[in-house]
Amino acid sequence: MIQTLFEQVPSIGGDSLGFIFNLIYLLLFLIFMLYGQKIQMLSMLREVGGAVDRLKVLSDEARGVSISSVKEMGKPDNDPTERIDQFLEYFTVLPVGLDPAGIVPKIEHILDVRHKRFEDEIRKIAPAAADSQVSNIEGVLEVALGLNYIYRIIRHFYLLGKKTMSYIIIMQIQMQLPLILREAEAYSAASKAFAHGQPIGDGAGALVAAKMMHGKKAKIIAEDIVATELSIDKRRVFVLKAEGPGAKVGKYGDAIKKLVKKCGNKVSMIVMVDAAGKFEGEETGTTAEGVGTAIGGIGDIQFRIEEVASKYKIPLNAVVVKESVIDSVAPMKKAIIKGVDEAIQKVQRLISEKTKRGDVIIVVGIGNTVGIGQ
Amino acid sequence: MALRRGGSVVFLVFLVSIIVMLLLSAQALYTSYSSFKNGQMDQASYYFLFGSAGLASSLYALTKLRIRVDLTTPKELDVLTEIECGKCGFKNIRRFAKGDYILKTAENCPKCNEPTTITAIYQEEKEKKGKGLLR
Repeated sequence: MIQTLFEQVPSIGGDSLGFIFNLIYLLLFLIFMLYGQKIQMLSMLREVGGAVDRLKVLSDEARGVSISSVKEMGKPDNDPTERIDQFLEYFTVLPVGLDPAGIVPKIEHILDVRHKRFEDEIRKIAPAAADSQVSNIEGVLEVALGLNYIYRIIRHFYLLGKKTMSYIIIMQIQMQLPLILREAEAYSAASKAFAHGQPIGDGAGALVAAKMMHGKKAKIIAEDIVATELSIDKRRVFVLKAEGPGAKVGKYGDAIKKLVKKCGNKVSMIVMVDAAGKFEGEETGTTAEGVGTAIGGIGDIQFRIEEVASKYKIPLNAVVVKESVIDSVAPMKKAIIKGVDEAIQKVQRLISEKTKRGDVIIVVGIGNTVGIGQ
Repeated sequence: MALRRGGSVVFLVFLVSIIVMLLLSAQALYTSYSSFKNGQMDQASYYFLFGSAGLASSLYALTKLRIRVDLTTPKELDVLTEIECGKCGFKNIRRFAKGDYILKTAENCPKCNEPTTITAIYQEEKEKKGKGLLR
């Protein structure tokens, strides 16, 4: 049948119709040769456009989760939608780094103002929310803000690329799309985790501290930080974490500084436990040991801890639970919980091997403590 | 917001050109086959070259056009709560309930009636599909 069909078309040989076919074919070939790049750009633009649509869905969903969380936990008198929409456009201008000397206190100040502003706003739109719920709403709003920001950036480059037909703009954004979309999907999962108060992968360090503290009395020693004193192999061990189960991170720098001063410069080791980014091919939940300040963020807290440690010559040891960036914002995986138990054993071994009886040790469980008590 | 992907006319022209190229490539391949049968080897190889190149490029362009966008809202992950009795060691896993948090004192143990503790909260792992040859 196909043979009959082709035979009905005049053969590309002698007659005029065949010549026309030949010509069109060559013309199309020329078009693909000359305008190949433009065609490729249009194809890339379509791909970016699809991603923009997907990001819009994720951003809208996070906004919806924020509104329902505020309504559910905060029982506001008025509809909070307008205030939340304003909140989603919130921005932070970090201090200028042209003269970096003394920049850390400036960053701390801006971050403190930001945190205070967020908390005040949330208490206004969610008056009935308890303290831990305020932190959870803050987490939900942070995620919604982040997703909205990603969506607006990608849309900006999509529209800019479409307007200018600049190959470099379109290509750059198209090449990064898989990573951006993976991160956005993970943030979307985090939004629900914060709304329900479920622990996230980032809380691995906080969970290590919580499990060590369990059953002992915890005392607030700095902003959002609780500490417990316990004895391991006849050593005085202070275990620190952010106050749970709300979505808090706390000021570890201030807490460590206070403890070191309180102990009269007798601290012989600081052990930091945190979740750390794993490389592709590594198993989630595996643990590793090292030295230094294992902590993420902008660097202000790391600076404070390093300042105290270097001033009093305290060795800084670190234990990390490996996980991907996506695992760190999504609800905690079982493999991470197994890693936490392994990390506790490593901390205890470090204490036994690196210190002697009567020494004072500080163990700091870093990470967002949403869904983790103490 | 004027975000809808414009250039739909350009896209349509592009699509039509691909289809035309696909048909012409098929025709060129058929002519190549006919020429080969008639013993015209030069003409056969000429049309075969054009036909196969055209077919490959148009099929590639068609696959590039197939962009499926997932516009469904992401499905909520199933989260489980693990409860343990510190006295008798009874262990239970149930769906996460609002208000659960790790190290919270939970419901009484059905065996010894002592309060239990939430020891873990984690996302339910979905069973992975069998690995294909190319994975």
